[in-house]
Amino acid sequence: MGNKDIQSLFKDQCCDINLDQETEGRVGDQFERPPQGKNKPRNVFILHFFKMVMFMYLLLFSAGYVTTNTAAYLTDHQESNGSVSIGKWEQEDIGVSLTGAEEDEQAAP
Amino acid sequence: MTIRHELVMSIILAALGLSLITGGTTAYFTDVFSTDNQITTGSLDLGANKETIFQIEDLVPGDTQESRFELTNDGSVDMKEIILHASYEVVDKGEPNNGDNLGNYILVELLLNQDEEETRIFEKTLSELNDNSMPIVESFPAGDIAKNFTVRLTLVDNGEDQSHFQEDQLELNWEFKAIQQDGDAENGE
Repeated sequence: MGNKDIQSLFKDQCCDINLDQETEGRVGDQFERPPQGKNKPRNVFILHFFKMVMFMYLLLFSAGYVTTNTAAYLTDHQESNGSVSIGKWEQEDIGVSLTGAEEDEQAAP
Repeated sequence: MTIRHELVMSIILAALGLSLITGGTTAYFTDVFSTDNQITTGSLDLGANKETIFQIEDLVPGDTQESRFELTNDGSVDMKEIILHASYEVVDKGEPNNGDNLGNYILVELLLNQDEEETRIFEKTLSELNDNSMPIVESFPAGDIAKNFTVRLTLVDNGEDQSHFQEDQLELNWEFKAIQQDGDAENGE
């Protein structure tokens, strides 16, 4: 991108800059900076708001911390063990049983 | 000393003299009475009459075995509740279970026997009880009579082949945890 291109780009965006001319100091010095005090009221408001939030948080936390009861309590344990053993049994043979009707059909010639 | 200084000094001395005359004596009677105070903390002591609740052998599908045990409040503090933490381990001794959990087929029924009446506290499988805390007693005052429990274990017959559970063993661990009654802010006279 050449100087002409940059120049035209800046012209479109916001301000006029001539890169052909030799300038003293930095290029950025040519731009007008917004006055420092312009954003000050907003920043001050945010700061005060933040302080208020922090103050309220600390106040509520301290009040809760001081006034709530302790959560400590006594406990006692008693352990019991047990064992269950499964027995042994004979496996039933898996057979096919025939109903009476089926038996009649097989018996028929 | 100027007249002014003398005047000021006179006024101060006069005020001092007046205060000495009119002021009351600071002498007073005293008496001392000391008391010996003693504060003892209560004790929370849960007792059980058995260390081994179950010792069941040769359980087959459809079998039900029961065991009894009792819990006592041996301390001086009322208990708010007693919680049961149950866990178990399956020792696969026979045929491999291949992921089939024996705990799914052991049904546990816990009953509280009180005044000749049985109250069912819960009926769950071992796998449902595992690492799942169950409150079994609500309010157990100190000095109260022992709480008698009956545990029924059933190996559920699911109607299918359960032969792979043969000779398997279950190691059960039941832990009873007693928690104190909430503190009373106006206790004592």
